[in-house]
Amino acid sequence: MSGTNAGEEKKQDQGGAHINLKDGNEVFFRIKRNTQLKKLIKAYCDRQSVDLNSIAFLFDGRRLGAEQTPDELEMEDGDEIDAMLHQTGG
Amino acid sequence: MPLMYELLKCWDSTEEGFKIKDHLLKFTTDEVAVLTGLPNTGAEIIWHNEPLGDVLSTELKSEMGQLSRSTDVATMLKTFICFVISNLFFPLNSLKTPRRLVSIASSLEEFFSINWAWTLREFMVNEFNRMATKLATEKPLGYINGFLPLLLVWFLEHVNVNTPRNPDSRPRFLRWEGNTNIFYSSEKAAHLVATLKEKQIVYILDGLSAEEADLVHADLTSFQPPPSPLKQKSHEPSDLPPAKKIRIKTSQKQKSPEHELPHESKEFQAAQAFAQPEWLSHLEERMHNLIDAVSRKIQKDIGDRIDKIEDNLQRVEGKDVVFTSVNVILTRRDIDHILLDDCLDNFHIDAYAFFVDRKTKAFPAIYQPYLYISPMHRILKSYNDYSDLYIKHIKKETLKRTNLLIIPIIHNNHWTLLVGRLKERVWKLYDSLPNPQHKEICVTVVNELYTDLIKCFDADITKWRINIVRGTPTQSNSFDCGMFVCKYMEKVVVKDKVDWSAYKYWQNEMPRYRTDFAYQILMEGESVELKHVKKCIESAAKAH
Repeated sequence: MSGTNAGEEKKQDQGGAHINLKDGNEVFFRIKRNTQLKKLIKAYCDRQSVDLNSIAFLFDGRRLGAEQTPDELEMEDGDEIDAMLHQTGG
Repeated sequence: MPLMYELLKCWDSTEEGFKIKDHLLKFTTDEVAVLTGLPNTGAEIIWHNEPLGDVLSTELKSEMGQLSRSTDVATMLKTFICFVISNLFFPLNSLKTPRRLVSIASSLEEFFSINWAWTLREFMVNEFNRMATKLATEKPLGYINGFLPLLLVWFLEHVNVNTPRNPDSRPRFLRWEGNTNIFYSSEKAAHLVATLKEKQIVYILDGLSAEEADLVHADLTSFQPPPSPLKQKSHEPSDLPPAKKIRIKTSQKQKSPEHELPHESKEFQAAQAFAQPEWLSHLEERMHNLIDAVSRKIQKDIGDRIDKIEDNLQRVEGKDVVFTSVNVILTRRDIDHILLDDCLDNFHIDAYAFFVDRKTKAFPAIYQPYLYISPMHRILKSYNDYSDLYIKHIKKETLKRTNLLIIPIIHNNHWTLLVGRLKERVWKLYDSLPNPQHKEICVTVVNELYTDLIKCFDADITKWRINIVRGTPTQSNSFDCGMFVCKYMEKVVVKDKVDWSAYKYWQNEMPRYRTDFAYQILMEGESVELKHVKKCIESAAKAH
């Protein structure tokens, strides 16, 4: 898909996480470990001007729920999140 | 259901009763009257001889689901009667309803002039006879029309194997309200029938009194035990809503129709004149409660789509994710896509595969072993490394134990289903928009798969022929191919050879399949959210 790659890092302490979004380009974000990824996803979509509903985000090949947090996913600092377009067919 | 089939095997068409081990239990109108509370008096109608109109029972059901407290009483009553008659008493597999239904529902006078007990029984006996003929010729039974919950209650009343939860409730239907624990699998049902003992059979309904019989104009003497009665049993949980509905109706009736619902039509106005306010408001309250309950139930069953989505939104309380399985997360938005005739995406297909997988595991006798490869495999392959995640279950040993490889393919915005028949060494392509060009991608898929799983296959799967399966149901629009792929998947895993000609109607049924799918997801999501729901209930209880 015109897939995009978003690399994300999160960070240590209950504090901030670093997030890196790639789309051919990389986009970095920093969010708290207990913040829902929704925030990141929205920011990413805004920045790239893409419809949030046309993209699914994957972590380790599995789809993310927007309400999940880096803590829940047991992400490590520097982990990547992939963005993919939904593959639809009719 | 299994119990019902066991019972049907015992049906004796000439005696019009159920014969179990040479003992006959007749299925009589008086019994129907006592069970349902519908009096055995009035005009007898042969329901299936009534000319059919163009109102569908499903339409009446959704009308019922839309009722609310603000609906005026006459409309409410009319809709309610239409619903009960078309969906509960005399459901037809064609979904059609007799033209006369509307006039019956519009006039209480006409409604009460009919001997519903007789009409119900006659309709069911006719169905039983039809089934008996089919059984005798070993034809598939197909859909059974008629008010089957009644048969279950009849059976429950005639065997003392289960205890009613509300022994003193009348009509007798209500005795079994809430007996949700009664369920018989086919084995249990067969066993029950086969081992039913004489002493377990109740010839004269438990506690039947002359008053009870009189109330519904039933002849008490008809309940004397026949000389050689034996009956079989098996139970199932039966729907309580029908029972409730019936009860209300009958109570209205017994109290005399005049108290019913005032409004609009002359009959109603006349009725209102006689009505005693207290009684009326009590009745109205019951009516409202009943209708609330029924419409809730309907919304749960099929509901209108918006309501379902709304309900779900409430349930997940601001949460976006409604369903989670191993690799799949579905959001509210994904449900919208299913319901609103949008194209399905790879997560939908995976979710459907999840349900198929569970079903096949639950009934291994019917389904063959297969391995599923998610479309995610190729999608991820196109740009990163995690694609192995989706084929790691494919191994040499697992392949040996399996018959089929199921591979949904998304290519150029079109879904097809590629199935590898490992024993026959051939690929089958199921395509709802048959086009030889769609075969090309299959070659690529198979080649890639062979490379990715090089050590797993004994044979060179790239050499197998790829056959386009002909005669499968096809789509006539530009958005249902994903749903077709789901349905193909569900059928190809069945052990028996699939007769595709029997599924020609699929395109027409797609809206229903989509609703079923969404419903399944939401119900599944419910278990995930159960904790949350429990919490809500608890806090609500506390607030009280």
